[in-house]
Amino acid sequence: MLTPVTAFPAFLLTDADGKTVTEHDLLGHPAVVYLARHPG
Amino acid sequence: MEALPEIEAAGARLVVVTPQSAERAAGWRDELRLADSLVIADPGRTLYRALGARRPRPLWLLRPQVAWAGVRALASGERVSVAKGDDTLQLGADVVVDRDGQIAFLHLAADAADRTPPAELVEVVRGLTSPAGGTAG
Repeated sequence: MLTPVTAFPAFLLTDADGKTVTEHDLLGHPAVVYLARHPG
Repeated sequence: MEALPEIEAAGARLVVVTPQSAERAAGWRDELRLADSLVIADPGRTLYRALGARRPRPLWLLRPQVAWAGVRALASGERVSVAKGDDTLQLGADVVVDRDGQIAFLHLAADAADRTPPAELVEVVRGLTSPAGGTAG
């Protein structure tokens, strides 16, 4: 059984400039996160 | 991203996640003029999997409503740019995260056209940033 995700998961992802995204980039303000379906 | 002004006016930041390489994500960011937004490249779909975003089986593309949607998109002039390694089955998701990183809203797309209206996302943000939302200050 899957556990519902309640906190936005933070991983060592990179932004479009290749810089690592940190919690500082995501927290401290609300965010609308749009996960694109696939390229196009 | 025509809703970007409303999202920012409501006090939120737009974060776009794409299942592409950073190089392709940068091109997409520039094309959509999202220079002030955070664009995350997630070619391994780590975030997609963690949030439970759907990725249907290939035969899903043969469902009549899906095939019809594809025909309509092509007829309207929509074009899809696909490069080697792109995952064309991955579906998207819409998320609103509060200032502490808690998910306030999550919608997992059931098909390619299934997205949350931007106005609805803005309303969720306003609920978070209003005094009654408890996160202001």
